[in-house]
Amino acid sequence: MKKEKEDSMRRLHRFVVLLAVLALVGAACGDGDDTTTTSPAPGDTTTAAPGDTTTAAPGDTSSTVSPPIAVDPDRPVKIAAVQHALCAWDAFWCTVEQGISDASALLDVDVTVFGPDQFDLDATASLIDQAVAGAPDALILTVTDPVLFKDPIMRAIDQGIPVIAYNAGAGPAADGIPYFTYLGQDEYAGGFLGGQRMLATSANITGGVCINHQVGSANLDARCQGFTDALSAAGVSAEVLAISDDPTASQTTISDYRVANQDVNAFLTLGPNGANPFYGWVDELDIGRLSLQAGEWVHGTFDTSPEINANIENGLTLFGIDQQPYLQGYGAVMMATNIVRYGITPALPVTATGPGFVTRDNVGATADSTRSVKIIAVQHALCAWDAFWCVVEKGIEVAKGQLGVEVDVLGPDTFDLDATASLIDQAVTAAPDAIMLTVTDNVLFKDPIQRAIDAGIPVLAYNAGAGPDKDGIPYLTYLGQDEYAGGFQGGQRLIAVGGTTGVCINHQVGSSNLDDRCQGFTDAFTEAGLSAEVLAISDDPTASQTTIGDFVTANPDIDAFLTLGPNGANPFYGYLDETGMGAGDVIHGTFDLSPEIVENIKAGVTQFGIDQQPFLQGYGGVTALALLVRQNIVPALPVTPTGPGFVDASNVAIVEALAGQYR
Amino acid sequence: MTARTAAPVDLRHRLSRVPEVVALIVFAAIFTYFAIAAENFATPLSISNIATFAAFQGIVVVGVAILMLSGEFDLSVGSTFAVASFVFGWFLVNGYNPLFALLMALVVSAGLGLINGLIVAFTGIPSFITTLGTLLAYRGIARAIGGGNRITYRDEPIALFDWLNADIAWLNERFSPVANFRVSILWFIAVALVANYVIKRTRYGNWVFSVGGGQAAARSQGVPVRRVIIVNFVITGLLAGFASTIQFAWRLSVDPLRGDGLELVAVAAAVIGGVKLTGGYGTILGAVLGILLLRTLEQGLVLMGVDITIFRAIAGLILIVAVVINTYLSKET
Repeated sequence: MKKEKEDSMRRLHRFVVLLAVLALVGAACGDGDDTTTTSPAPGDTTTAAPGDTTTAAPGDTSSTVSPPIAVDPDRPVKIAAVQHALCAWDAFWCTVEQGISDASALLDVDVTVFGPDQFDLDATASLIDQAVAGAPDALILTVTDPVLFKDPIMRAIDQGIPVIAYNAGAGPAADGIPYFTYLGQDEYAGGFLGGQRMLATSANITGGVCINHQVGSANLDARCQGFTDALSAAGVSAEVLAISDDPTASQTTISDYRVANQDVNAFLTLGPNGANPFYGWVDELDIGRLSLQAGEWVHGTFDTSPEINANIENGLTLFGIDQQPYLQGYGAVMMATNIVRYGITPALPVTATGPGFVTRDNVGATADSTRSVKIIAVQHALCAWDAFWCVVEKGIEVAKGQLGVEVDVLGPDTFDLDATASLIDQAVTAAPDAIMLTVTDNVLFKDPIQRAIDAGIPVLAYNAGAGPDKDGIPYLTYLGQDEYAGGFQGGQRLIAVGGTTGVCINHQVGSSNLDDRCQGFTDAFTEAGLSAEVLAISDDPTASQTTIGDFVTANPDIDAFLTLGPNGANPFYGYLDETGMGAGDVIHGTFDLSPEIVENIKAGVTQFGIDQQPFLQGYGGVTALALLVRQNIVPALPVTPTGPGFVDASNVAIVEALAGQYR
Repeated sequence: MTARTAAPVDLRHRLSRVPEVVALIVFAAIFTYFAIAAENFATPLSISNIATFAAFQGIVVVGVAILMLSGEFDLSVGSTFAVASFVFGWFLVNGYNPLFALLMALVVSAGLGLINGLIVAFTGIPSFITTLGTLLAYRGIARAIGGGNRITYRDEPIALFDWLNADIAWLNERFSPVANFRVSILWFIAVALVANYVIKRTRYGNWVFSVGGGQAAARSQGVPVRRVIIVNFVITGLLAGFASTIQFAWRLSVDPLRGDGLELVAVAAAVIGGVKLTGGYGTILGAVLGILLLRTLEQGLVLMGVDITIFRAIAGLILIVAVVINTYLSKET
């Protein structure tokens, strides 16, 4: 039925095909699930040769980047997804598409999935153009070949369509395409966190080896680098052993290596091609299994397979590292939706969906997308008496409504850390499926949080905290601003608009958050072969304004300014007024937003304001926990950045319109 | 007086000799309600939370109740509480002997109570005004000691912390999930028992009631009114300081707002427990029930998913109802 419709439509007009099919199939599937999978029939792929890409409406490419966004958080959203493979012919993609489909239904957005009916990159590139012609609100895609895909993706970006990459890509910088973010596995972090897990499990690790079946492949080398770095940091020697894709030869290589290196007792393999010969070698030894099960040796691996899962269950293998393809699909739709609806942007150029650790605790766990979920959020302040928290709580409310989960927000009715700690204990009593909380004081909160974790309740932190390592509390992840990344990306943006010599104006030198911002800023300049320094000012606006003026007089080369909040931006604006300078005379960016900063962004004086996106702290916390309970999706990294979220000329209108609610 | 009203008046008189009766009934009613209505309420973890959180506040309540029995009250206990933790923390963080740190915290908090007592006893300024002033002043002292910041103890925990407030592991581990009974509960019980004995069985206890009943009458009976008032303020400050060190031994961190509002919780607990604001009437047991009732209410509301901001509203309602009933019961006929 569907096929017949497609065929008959194709005869009518080659180009109308995709759009029409889209509409028809979309209507046919209108039973609540808005996801549509579209694959052109064989032969269609030739219709969209690279030359055809000019069919995108002429003149569109010249249009300036303007907000593609109406200020209506509830308006219908249409997203196009283009990927180089489909569930129809590659089972891996069924998980990705399940994520897309679930997100589509839960977030109530319309997503159409386009893909070729066999692996065909040129056809995929054409599909990007064809999808863009449908004027979607956002485009999500796999950047399987950045060179081939650059031209069609750029056309979408030039039209003001927000673009998110998933599963295949390397991030906007490495790919040379300015899309928002790439969702995929952080390979280095996978190796690093894997190494840390081994060290935490066994106290007697004396040497480690990363068994690499494809030395030279950047992804696999990064995994080994992370692993050896983690062990070296703990004073344990670790090296890389090159094996091949031939299992028998590899088994011999592993065996020979171990004979020559008796102290090595931590083994990391990078997939079934390394794990299988490793298991073969272990079985060949008398003591192999026993040593692993007793914890004298530890083995972890990337990827999962029936063999790997079985060995995780029987205690031979500590973990398998999953890139969590479900989250790639779900996350791409979610991020695109948040950009379109609320102007909330992804914080980092690369968003890690993995490593997701599969361990004895969760191996074989089945997903249940309809499971009821009860979350308790404990925070040190409430919207009732601190307006900042209204935005966080709005995020919680929105996620709660979309996901159909129960969330109770608890907080003291005045700032009271001891009462907040007690609330954590009281929340544990309710035996919720998960707890999210602010780690406002990692010493004071440690005991109650640890009790929650000991009771088997998953815990994550939002807004206040420093990550499980720095806080010394083994919660899942911390959602907050990545200060260094904010400074670094801010520096890159100022360089991109012509900055050559930068200054980071720091009103609180010594505060680690603010120092991190400046470090990121100066690193961005240094990395680009330029120079930047830090200028210390105070919280006194008049004195600071004089300091800035004196500094510029002494350093006339300075042309790029970063301030770290209103306390730096206001004296800077004072200095501009004093010297009669305005838009076009200086390059300025700042952290935070204030009425003055928003005015100056609109006036073109300030390039951007960097926001920690508190909405995303509430929204992301609820979403991560719901995905964990229902889909066994584990937060990939110890810190999940919600900011920097850049507010610039392109989105200042929506940000201003939604201020106090979503921003 | 007719025969028809004789029976209720008789009952009222009998009940009026048990000032904690209202608190007991309300506590039982609330506890039963939550046990039925709130999932997970009647669990070891929930009960242990109520007891543990009531413990350190309860020690403060006992002090406040003794003071109220003598007709005075102390709004500065929350600030004294903060000062004690800051003193304790400051000496610990700066490497002093832990026992010396504890001693200093107790001496300072007793000293703050003494200042309150001297002002009230010798100037005749009402304790409400006096301690409203010291509430602000002592909070300033707490901020000054911490330089406006927190004091956090980051070294290895010391044995003194276990004495003050260890996790009662052998008991907690019998339950799943692990319960939250702590040594502070034992301190609370000990303090309450000693206070109860002193108030009910000693001459000093009689003096306290006598001063609370009316200073002129007490003085005419030879009760050293000023001494009783001063000693009671010192006891109140000391107990606030002791409770504070118990809390610090668990939390290991104190911020400048610590204990803010505790004075009202303490007065509320005592009043709900049947202690009269005007003095001369009430029991330690009643005050203990009062604080248990408030902690039970909070834990129950959390479990029922009721907005926590409603807690104060309900607590206030219970307070008013308790006062109305207590006033009715103790009314002279």
